[in-house]
Amino acid sequence: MDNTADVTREGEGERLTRYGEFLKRAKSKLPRMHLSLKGDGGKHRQPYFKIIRTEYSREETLWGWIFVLPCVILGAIFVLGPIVISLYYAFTDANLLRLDEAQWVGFENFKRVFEDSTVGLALTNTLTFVVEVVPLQLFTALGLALLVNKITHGNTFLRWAFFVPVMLSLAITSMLWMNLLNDSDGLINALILACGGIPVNWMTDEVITLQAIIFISAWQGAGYQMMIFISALKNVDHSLYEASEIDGAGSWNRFVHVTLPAIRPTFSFVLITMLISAFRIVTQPMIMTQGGPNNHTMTMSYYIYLQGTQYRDIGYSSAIALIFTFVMAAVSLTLRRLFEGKKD
Amino acid sequence: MNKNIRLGALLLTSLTALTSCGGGGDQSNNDVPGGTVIVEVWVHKNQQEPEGRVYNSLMESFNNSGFTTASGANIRMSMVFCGSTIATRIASAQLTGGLPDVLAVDCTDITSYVDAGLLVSIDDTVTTEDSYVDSVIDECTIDGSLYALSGMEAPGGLYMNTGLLAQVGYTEEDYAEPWSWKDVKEAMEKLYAADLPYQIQLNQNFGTDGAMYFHSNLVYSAGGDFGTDGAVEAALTTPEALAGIEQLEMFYTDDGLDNPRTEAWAYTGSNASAFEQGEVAFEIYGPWDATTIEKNKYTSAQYEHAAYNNYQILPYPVYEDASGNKSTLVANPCGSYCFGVTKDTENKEAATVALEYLTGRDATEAMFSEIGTFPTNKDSLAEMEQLQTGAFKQLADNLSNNEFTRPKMVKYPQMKDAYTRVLDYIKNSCNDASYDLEAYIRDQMGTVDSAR
Repeated sequence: MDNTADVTREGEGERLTRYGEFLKRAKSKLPRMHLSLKGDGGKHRQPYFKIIRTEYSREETLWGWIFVLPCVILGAIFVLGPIVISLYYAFTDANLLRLDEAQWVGFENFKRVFEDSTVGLALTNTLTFVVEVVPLQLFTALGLALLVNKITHGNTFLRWAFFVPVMLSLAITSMLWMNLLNDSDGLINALILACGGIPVNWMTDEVITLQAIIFISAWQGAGYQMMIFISALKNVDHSLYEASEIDGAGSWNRFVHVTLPAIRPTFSFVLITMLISAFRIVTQPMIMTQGGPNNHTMTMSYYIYLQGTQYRDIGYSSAIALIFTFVMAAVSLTLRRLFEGKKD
Repeated sequence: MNKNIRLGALLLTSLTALTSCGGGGDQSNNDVPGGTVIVEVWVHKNQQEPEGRVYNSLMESFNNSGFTTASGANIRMSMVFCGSTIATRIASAQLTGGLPDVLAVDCTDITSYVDAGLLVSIDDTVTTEDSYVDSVIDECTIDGSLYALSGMEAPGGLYMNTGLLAQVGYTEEDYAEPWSWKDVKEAMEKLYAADLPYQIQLNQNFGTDGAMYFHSNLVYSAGGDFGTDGAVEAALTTPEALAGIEQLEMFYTDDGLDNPRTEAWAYTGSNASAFEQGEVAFEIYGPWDATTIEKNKYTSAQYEHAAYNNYQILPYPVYEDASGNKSTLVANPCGSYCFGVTKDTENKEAATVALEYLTGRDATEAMFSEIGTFPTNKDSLAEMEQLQTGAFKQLADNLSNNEFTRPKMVKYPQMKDAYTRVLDYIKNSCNDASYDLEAYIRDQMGTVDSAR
């Protein structure tokens, strides 16, 4: 036992010596570098260039650019380029099959957006979806995370069970729910009938269909946010709980005054990302209802897709997309500002 | 520094590899005796799919058949299996100038492609035009010029479970003439009264074009039509068109049902084999169920009212007015994927030879055997043994006698979606007090007309 301790101490000593030598070498270099920059008028400096009174090393800048370049090129091709092109098309009559003949039409597409009743309906549906699905999914995820965090037995199984819907493709779960919610022979209506209730037109009623899609979306997505919340909950300092317990705080007070403030950054991140993805809802209405009944599940993203891809009206599709992007950005930034304000 | 150079070189190579993806291959076009002309064909399927496999074997057999141009050059076919990305690829190629010689196009897109100058007329190069059924020639002809040809058709009709109908007094003689929609409803009422499966599976939301495929006949049979680009609203609000579309209401009304909460005339369940298994008495559908029924051969031991050996396929129902006069207009608008020659071809003659091979007799019969689509070759329809009896003969007759196509217009995608919404409106709202079909059609079709 003692021998082992000596060996460990010797090893530590060697490491400390090596570290000391490294520091010495580093220190010896520092003054030289300082001198070369200040003392010799820049004669021995590496080549540099100046932008607005700030000097940059040419070599370092070059290497920096080499490393950043792939990202910049890909970003320019797949993000910036399409945004600029879409911005241009929004002011033209571009057709998917005649993009080279696009003519400038000024604000005509934007005027059309405000006259198109389907855009109004799609925006209403999308906002309804966002307003309902975000809190539902957010608090379901948080609730599940708290539950899984608290339960010790079967924790792994529960985590897996709640996460399974996330692993399934949206198309598959949409088909699954379509069968479950079928008006005439779906399992849900069969159960309602068996209980003596009245069958519900899940997929054909103008009001209920959107609500069904909201529920399905929350069910499918909550597992993912649950995992993020679990990791945030694991990082909450336990001494805070102990201190609050000593102060006599009950479980609700502990949740409100300890847990929630501690996970606020995660909460904010989950909320913003959920909000953005909720705005982009497209798969479920596309597969389950094709925007019906009577456009009552038509969403903005689906309508943009229809106009651009199916109807080939790229100009109009770009105009709707541009306006919708502003709506999304305004909502997201406002919420972000709200959360940041609270933090301050 | 060597490390830095190597790293830089690696980055550069990766970027070059990334940006060079999707570049086109070399194409020979040496149209001289002994030379080789390569015809590039884009198809809408992946090679692994049954239809894709047929195209692949057609390409191989074409390349082994020794086709030559008039000047003696060998024609070889090269095929690109685009799958579902074909529309995007065509749009990109239209912009950058890399269209193939021949491409697959859904027959309802031909008008748009011609309007965009993407397809060229093959009037002057095609030699086998007369061998195709009329419906193919009709759907591929725009403003009097032929732009494409097809080796596939999908004639549909009214599937009827004659076993069930026999129990309420119908005999063979009753199937000699096309039925009207009213005849169908009358039979359904008899079956309902006899407590037998009575519903009709209308399939109006089948795929992306079920409404137009199976129910544009509502309009045609009543003497209406879908008009032209920019004049759809006017066409579909004529008394004929309105009367035709209104016929669908009888299958969604609550009238005559004991318990409208749990019963309906039209089947809305999820069983795709409802007709085959005798769960419903009628179905409006394409040729695919006939193939499935003959393949599965369900017996009454498996399903009490199984359709196998107990079914007929009549043409789509016809219009019948209030006085009981039945229309003589029997419409069976079908149409499938076609092949057309693009503006970028350097050898239209060779491209047409390849196109005619891909849609010719061998190809069309191979498609029938492998994927169940109907031959478009008149001789095949007249001579193929499978098409001379039973349900297949009825479908072949429906195809041969058809004179209608789905609407040919640039704004077809908008048109078919609007028509789908009209039929959905009937389905979901015809029992409501606020139901106003004409106003709804005006609203929907007005949107189509105002679209660009």
